[in-house]
Amino acid sequence: MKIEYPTPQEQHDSIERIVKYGLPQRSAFAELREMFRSLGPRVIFYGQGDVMFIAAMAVAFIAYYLVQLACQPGIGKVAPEYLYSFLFTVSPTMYLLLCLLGFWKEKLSTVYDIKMTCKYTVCHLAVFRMLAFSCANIVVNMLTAGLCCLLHLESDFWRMFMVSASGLFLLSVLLIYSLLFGRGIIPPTVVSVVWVPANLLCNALAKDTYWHFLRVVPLPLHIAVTAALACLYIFGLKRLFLRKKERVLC
Amino acid sequence: MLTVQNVTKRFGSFTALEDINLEFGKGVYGLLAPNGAGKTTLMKMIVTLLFPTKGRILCDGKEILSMGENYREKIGYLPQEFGYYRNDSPRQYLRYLGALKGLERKAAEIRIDRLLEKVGLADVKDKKMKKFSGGMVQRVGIAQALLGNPEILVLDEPTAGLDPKERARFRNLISELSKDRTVILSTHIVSDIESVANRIVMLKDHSVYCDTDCSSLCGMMGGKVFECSVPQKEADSFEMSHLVISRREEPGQTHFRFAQDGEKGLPPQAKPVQPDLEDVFLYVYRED
Repeated sequence: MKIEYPTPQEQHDSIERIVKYGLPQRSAFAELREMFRSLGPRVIFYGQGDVMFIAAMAVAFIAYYLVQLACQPGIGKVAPEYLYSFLFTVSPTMYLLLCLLGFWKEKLSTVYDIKMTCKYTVCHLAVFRMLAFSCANIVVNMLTAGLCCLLHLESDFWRMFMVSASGLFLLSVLLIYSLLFGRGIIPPTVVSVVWVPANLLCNALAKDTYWHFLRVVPLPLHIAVTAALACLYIFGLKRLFLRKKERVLC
Repeated sequence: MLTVQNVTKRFGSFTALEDINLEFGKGVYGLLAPNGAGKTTLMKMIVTLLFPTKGRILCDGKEILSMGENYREKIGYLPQEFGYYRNDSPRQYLRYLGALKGLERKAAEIRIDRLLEKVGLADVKDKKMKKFSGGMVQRVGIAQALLGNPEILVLDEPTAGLDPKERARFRNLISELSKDRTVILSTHIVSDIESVANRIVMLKDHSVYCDTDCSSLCGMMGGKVFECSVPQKEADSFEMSHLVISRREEPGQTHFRFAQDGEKGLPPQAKPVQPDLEDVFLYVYRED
């Protein structure tokens, strides 16, 4: 009885199929965790010191402005609508500066091509940094809300925190989807540049709706909107990490 | 085995490469073409910096774009304009790239020391690269391309900025490395690939003109390359009417090496000579 054995190529293909479908697939966040374990913060944030310094200066300036606001004569008379729209607009500042300046630095870097041919590319590093910067920005927003309470500018800590968190996640979603669906670095730059004027415009032209969202909408609804934006953001980060696209930041 | 299958690359309405079909096995492949012919575009597609508009590139039968990091672990790339961090030493820079390439720290340290020794930079491994000459920076670039012990080495103009001694060292290094890997290198310095390349790929009019070994390529020019001396007063008119490869001034006369199809108009004193790769390059791209 003649038994037909598979050829070496057939054996190889079968083994590949078994490995591909049999082994559990690692999620994007497991890959990110593995990347962090393998590279460490020093490699991931390599060459970002100047960008972090600029972002820290911007945060310090905002804190200084709030202190100055509190020290003005007639303390406690800062209009709540003004304070909330200010927080909503400036809350993503640190995240915006860290991401945008970081993207431009990578784009203008002469090392970009070499890094894109490594196991961990510029895209992988950018995704990790965006995740880390958004977490850091949440902490800064919490501290800013606490500072406002300390300075007696406003007493509702949780509303202030949720307003600043929703501002952060709204900009993050716009930024990440402009990277995913746009070409190169211009769309996220446009989003970043337009953020403040767009908020000022809303403040001027649709004042009532804008302030209603920030001040009057019940807190649970605010939390739900912020959570939905956060989920969209995480989903966008995952897509960016796994995406195979030509020249993402160029 | 790296296979380029019916690859076309367009940038908007401009076609950089059209219907390219190539196969790269173990050995050295020289990519020869003038500026703007598409060498860098082809190399960038091989290292996944650019994606083909049509066609695909396969590594051992699998599409390189779907392989992702598994493919990038097999490649080493030296771009035409090699970038570096000026305030880093070669060791610091290679450590950073070694981490990005997924190398384990201790193994990377050993490998970095060996590579810097190999490229002749062991004495300056902790000096900042802003103090380096162009040739020294290029050698760091060659070292980083070899860092992951790649199966496929893609070098775009690797000898730019190197002096003849360094180019000779580089040629020996490439010959040594090519025993068990695929090396694809592009250069305008024909002599760099003449002695080391197993196969020469020439690009013309955005497609492959020929893909053959050096001796067959030179054989194509058999009977077409000549040398002769002419009086100096006739030298300029001679140069205008012939495809001159080289010109040398001697006392009272000018010595020419030139290419010509057929014997019509051939000076009686012209003697046929053995063509070399530079002759082929200048003849094939004479209209460009």
